[in-house]
Amino acid sequence: MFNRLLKPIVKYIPENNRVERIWKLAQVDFKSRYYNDKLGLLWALIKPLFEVSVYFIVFKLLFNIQQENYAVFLFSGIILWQLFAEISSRGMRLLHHKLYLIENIQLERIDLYISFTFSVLFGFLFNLLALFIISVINGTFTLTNIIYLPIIILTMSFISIGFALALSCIQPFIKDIHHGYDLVLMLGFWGSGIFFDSTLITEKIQFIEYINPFIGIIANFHAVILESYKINIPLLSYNLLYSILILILGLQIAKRLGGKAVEKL
Amino acid sequence: MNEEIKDIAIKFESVSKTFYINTTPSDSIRKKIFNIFSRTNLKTIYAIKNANFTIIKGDFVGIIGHNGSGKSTLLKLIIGSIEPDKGGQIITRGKIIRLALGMGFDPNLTARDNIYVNGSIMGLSFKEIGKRFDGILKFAGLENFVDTPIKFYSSGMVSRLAFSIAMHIESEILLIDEFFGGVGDIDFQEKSHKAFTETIIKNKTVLFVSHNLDLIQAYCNKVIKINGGILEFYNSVDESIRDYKKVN
Repeated sequence: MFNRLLKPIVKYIPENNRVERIWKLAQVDFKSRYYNDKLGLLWALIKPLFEVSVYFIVFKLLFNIQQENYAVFLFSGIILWQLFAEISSRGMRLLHHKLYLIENIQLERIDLYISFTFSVLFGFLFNLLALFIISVINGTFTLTNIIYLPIIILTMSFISIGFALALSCIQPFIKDIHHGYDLVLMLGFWGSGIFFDSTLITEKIQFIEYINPFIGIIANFHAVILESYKINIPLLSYNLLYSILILILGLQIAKRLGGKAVEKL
Repeated sequence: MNEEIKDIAIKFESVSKTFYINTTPSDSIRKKIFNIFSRTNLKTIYAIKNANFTIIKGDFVGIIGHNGSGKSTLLKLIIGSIEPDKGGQIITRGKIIRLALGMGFDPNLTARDNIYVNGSIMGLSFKEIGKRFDGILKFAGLENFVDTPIKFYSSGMVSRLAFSIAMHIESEILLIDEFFGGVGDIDFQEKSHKAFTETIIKNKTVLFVSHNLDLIQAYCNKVIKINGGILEFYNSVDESIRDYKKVN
């Protein structure tokens, strides 16, 4: 089914070996993730929907949080956060999972990271489609700020690849780093304005949005999805630059440690 | 560029590879913190020591040496999965593939996906892979298992697929790691032996790791003997085997 769905897109992929290679690696990664289960791609949707249901019950029904269109607000924040969490935490083991290729065929290691990011993005786009459908049903669907959506996804992808690059090269030296990283993810999950308006954090801790880029990214994503929020263009630009810096840092760590990390596996 | 440089397939210049093994490993957060002020006991292993050699396009080079002598490290350096120590330089010209049992396969993927992944990494377009696809399956005798994940294959089926991919996907440099002989059943062994001599190694630079000195003698025109990380390059196969036997 997946191949059939993607056939119209495959037609437009330029006949360039590198593009095809990245595409193929992304495709097989995606398939191996979702196609061994009977529910397949639906798992990509079930998980965030389940999370939204739980948090909605807790925050809206039990704590009566005052937030308009709370279900859409929650769902949008959760799927964007999941994009980052999945790329960075699963990417941590990327060298290990792709060792069968690294050791046997000459390849550019960065292609593995790019293709992996695309495979996670496929799942994200599926969730995004579900989000749009929910927004239409909810009567909140808007295209006013849709132009900023690619920049937000690009920013999140750059940060995620940067983290995946760095973590995958550090992980072979500190094997239990994932325990520490789980705590970082938890901190980010609760402190980036996924459950409540980010102004609640930024009013209390000044300049926090310039340190934690996810606050701005998620706030701007909310502004794309819900008309009642305003897009913050200076923060959007700042976050894009921030993400490029994280990506460069990740590339530098991979350049310095990548070879040694493969030796340790 | 003069003719000599143009014909180079692999060149090692002052290449060394040293592994530092921590005898008191601190590969967890707790150990890193607790060992912060304690001395680390590093054991140094010189896997490759100052290797200098040139392999010309079309050479068939045998690599002989005991287990743990540095043969696999040499292949890993050539394919680029590990890097040499500072100061060393490795020049390779052309696409390299390593032919070994279970080479480059994800066991969870089907033969179809593994063929496309290997092919595209080797520089073939989807169109080119498509043209070779049926030939790969037919030669491996796996037409009925094309959409079966590799993890359900027998080791013979995996070897046949690996062999067939190496035969159909062209690479300029082929690294054969203890792979030759014993691939699949008797019929396939005969077929693969013929394909090996007539197709696979034709016009290719081959590095052939084996403990089978008869095979080394039959196919190779040069030999690298490795002993404790020290490489000796021989232009005469007979002389290398004589020396190798002398030491043993």
